[in-house]
Amino acid sequence: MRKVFDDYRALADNVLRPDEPRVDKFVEAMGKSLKKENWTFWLPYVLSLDYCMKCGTCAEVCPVYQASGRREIYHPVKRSEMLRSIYRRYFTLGGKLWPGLVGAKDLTEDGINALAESFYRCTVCRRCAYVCPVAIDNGLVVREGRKILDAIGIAPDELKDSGTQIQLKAGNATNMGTAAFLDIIEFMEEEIADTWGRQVKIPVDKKGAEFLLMHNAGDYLAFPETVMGAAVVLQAAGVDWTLNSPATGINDVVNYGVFFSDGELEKVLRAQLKTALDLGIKTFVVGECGHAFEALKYLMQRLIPAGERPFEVKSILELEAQWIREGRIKVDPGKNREIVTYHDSCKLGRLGGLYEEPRTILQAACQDFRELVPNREMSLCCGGGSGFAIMAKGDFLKFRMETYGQLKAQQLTDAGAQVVALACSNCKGQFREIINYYKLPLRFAGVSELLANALV
Amino acid sequence: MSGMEFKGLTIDVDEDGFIQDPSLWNKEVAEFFGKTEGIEELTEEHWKVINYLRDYYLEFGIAPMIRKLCKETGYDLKKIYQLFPSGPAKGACKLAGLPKPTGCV
Repeated sequence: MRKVFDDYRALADNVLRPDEPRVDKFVEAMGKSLKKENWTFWLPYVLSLDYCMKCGTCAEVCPVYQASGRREIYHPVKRSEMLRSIYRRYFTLGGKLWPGLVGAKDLTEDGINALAESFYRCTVCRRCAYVCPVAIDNGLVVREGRKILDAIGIAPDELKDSGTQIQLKAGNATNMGTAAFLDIIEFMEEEIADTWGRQVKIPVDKKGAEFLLMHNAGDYLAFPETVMGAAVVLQAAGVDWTLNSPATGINDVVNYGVFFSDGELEKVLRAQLKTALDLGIKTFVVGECGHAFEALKYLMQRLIPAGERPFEVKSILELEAQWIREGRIKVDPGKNREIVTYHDSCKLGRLGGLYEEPRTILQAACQDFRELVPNREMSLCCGGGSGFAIMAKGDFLKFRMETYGQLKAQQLTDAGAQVVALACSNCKGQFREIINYYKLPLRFAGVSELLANALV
Repeated sequence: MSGMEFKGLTIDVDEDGFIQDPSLWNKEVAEFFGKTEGIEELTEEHWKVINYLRDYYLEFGIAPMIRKLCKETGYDLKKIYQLFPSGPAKGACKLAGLPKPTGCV
């Protein structure tokens, strides 16, 4: 694959089609994105295109810019300017009449190539948006740019062809059938007995249950300790709950549309909604997955009227914290003796506001809980966000490790932690690689897993 | 999609080097994929992992849970990474002729 932006390529040639004419289509798609029918975040998007003082505050907190040794091409303003210069040139009067004066540039095919790759160097962690003095959201600009790219047929196959498309067809993005799902459930029940000495019967496809817990399907295959831990906790809490198999519709809480497409986002959300309605559950519980929480807790509110979704949406963290506070489940922190720290997922924390819940759980369940610095609102993205955790074409894993990953590895080392607790599947995927790449002397664990381990 | 020349045959692989048609897999293909992953020789330990993945895939149409793979082979994740430096999904599954695992794995 030839170089179009930096030394990496997130998008393969058959996706980017770097030598095909796409300028006219791009401008047309961008024109549509600027209309109010672009329902998600039209106003902040247009304001973010119109107003930026270029003060550079964002760059000082941008993980990829800082970790790259302040390389200009990774500067968040530079990135957004790639889209802004097109906006000015084709959609403002000044840009049409006097392009040179207003920083408007003709769009070229090479410009599209560079923009596409650049917009897949940012994890949309939105640390920049948090510090911007005039509330410009570079993360939003990146997402809208990715939507325009998708509209002209440029989207990572991991997220679309092998992501949302498989999920809509098979019920989950891992392409797991019902037989495989049931085999996994049976294995997990045995593993729970072996690990924690508990007999847990995992309910599946129970209609009318109070809680439908939907995990990221990848957790069943790659991070089953989280799924097992949650099952142990729910049984200990004595609540009426269920998991669901692909036979009931969608049994994967992920929604990669969050990363690149409102169309895909809506299709997946509606399919998840239908599954929940068919099952007749009362509360839709989002497993340990950051972007799924964004989709179901926040984006769904903008898309689907309240009357059409007669159930509550909660993160598993909210329930676990609540049950600890209520004394519904009892824990002994002496059962988790290692030094434990917590990494705030961008989507659960900065976006979702779940800062206290994981801390309530971990402080109760672990003997020596320590904070990473910085944390909460200023938490550093691990580098797995916005789809990166499952994108590794060519050298792209190296990009993830040498930029975001490098900062995170340093932060973990400074904290002296033996266990890093995570509540997001993409974080888990990225930390698995960081720990392996930097040979760090620690392990990661799901929050639910640590909680299950501390139950008395 | 691109083709990889191998013993006079062309094996179609995807962008990540995974086999396009899992039914065309055989032991020689595994050895060939191993070389593309920097694994010079496949030992008995490699084969234990590959055979388990293959059998599970043929039964369930998907790669097994990594935890189950570890339990059934008796190898921990560290050992799997030693055997397959790209890891269980991107390394071991490729050699076993499985399609590229999808979703958040």
